[in-house]
Amino acid sequence: MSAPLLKVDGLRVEYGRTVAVNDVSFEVAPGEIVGLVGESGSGKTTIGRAVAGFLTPGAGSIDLAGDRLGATRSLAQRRGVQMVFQDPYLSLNPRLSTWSMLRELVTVHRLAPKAQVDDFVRTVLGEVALTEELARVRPSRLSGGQRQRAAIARAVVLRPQLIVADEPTSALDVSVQASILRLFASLRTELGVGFLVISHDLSLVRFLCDSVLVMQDGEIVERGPVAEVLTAPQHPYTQRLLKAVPRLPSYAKTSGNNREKP
Amino acid sequence: MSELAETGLTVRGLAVTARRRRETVTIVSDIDLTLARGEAVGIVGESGSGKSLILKAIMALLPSGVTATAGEIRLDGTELAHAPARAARAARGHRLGLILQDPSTALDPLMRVGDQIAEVRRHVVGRDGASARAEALELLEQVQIPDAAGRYRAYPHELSGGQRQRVVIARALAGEPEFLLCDEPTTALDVTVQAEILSLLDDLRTSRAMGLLFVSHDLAVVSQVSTQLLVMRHGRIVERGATEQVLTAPSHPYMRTLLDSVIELTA
Ligand SMILES: Nc1ncnc2c1ncn2[C@@H]1O[C@H](COP(=O)(O)OP(=O)(O)OP(=O)(O)O)[C@@H](O)[C@H]1O
Ligand SMILES: Nc1ncnc2c1ncn2[C@@H]1O[C@H](COP(=O)(O)OP(=O)(O)OP(=O)(O)O)[C@@H](O)[C@H]1O
Ligand SMILES: [Mg+2]
Ligand SMILES: [Mg+2]
Repeated sequence: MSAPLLKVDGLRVEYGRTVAVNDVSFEVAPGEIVGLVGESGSGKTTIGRAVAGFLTPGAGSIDLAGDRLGATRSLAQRRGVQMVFQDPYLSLNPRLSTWSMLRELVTVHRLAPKAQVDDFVRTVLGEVALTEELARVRPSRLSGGQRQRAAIARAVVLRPQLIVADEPTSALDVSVQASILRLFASLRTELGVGFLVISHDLSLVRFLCDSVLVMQDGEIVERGPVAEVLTAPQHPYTQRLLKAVPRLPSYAKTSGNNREKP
Repeated sequence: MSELAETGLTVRGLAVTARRRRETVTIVSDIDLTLARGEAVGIVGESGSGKSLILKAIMALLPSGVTATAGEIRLDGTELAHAPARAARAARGHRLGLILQDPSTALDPLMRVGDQIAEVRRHVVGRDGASARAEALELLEQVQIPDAAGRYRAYPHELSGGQRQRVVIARALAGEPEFLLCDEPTTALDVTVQAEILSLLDDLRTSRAMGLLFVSHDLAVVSQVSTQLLVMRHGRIVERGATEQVLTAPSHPYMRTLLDSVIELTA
């Protein structure tokens, strides 16, 4: 196996007396997509925030491509890990249009020569299925799903080494969701971007991820390849989780008779 | 009045427009829907098709620059639409409740979450301070917040995404609305908690005859919750009918595409 892109070792995070994350260790290889699922309140977002440098862990280490990430990070280190927040509204400046935000990021991080900045921004907008017209308005005037795509654009525009995506498609209809999944897949194959994808949507995890970590009460209770964990779960919590997945009633399934079989 | 017998929440011919860079654009038009007490209607559709703005128009909570320009909204036959926003909201009284898509904007960041729920019990249901607080705690337990007594005193930013979303649900339920409009209410919940919340809503639908308007991208969830389904695209309702009918034999190509992508994902 190749050297890990991300190595998290013995991570512990406390909020006052609450231990939100306790002794968590895992790795993400270059180009690997790791799913992080589990109970609401189990510490998933907290892990993401620690990896992306938004909080300082009480204990443990975080390495990106062999480089120890501390409490203060260089511009390059900050660019290296990008987070798509669970709540897109909080990560976007309500007064700055998506267009201006992306232009600013491209310029600050020198991602394209001056004359090509607009073209690069257009490419990224295309990747997240957002029209230029929508990109020109403030995020406060966007729908929930449009805002979520703006937040994804904010992360992918930097072409980071690792993307932490916290419920990245929760506000998207399935057809827009499909374009985001395609984008993630192409970033991983073409640029070797690694992903930590936090999601409650187990079919999305099954479809997108290589391996999965299952959390309960601040700890990883089960881990392994998606095909194993989501078909033959060992831990009782994972078993309960899989049982609770809402399914389309069987009558719906007969309707798609003109689609191609994979 | 010609429709004395009319009950429930009805929307007829609703149109919403917005000012965008000096132009006026139509966001939704020709929206008709009826929600009886004890009934559950689902709305699915393309991202950006106008689902959230329809709910906000019904609540008279449209953001500035966005206006309902046509149509009527009635509650038990009484028209609600054309009053100025403040009066319109008062007319809705607390008979309508809304769960916003974005839980963080729905809560006061500077107030303990338990108190935000207790406040509704006090002002809307008329409880005294002590019973309002006790009932707020009960509501937190009902929406499956662990260590509810401890979390009663938390501020919104001290909760996880799914805990915040459940606080928003608890606060909406605290007003005992006759009609609850839910905008993607379970997106931040794991499937086990989601199942509990959906069954809580369903219990209230039957025990209190609460009407439920339920917006979601999750077709499996919508099919569980609702008996009638509306499908939206580009600001219009492109398909409607009994949920089972729409999911079994969708007539609009968009609905067929949606179903096919879900089936592909879950295959
Ligand atoms: N700022 C804070 N202060 C105190 N407690 C916090 C704070 N942020 C989170 N917590 C607590 O830490 C725990 C983990 O929260 P976290 O947001 O990581 O959960 P999560 O797994 O992302 O949940 P969800 O699926 O609901 O988003 C929760 O019990 C939460 O109440
Ligand atoms: N405050 C606003 N000012 C102007 N246009 C707006 C405003 N809010 C939303 N819009 C536009 O109106 C359209 C409908 O928005 P709405 O939020 O109702 O969509 P939605 O169906 O809820 O989508 P989603 O599933 O992504 O949440 C979108 O194209 C959006 O860009
Ligand atoms: Mg979270
Ligand atoms: Mg919406």
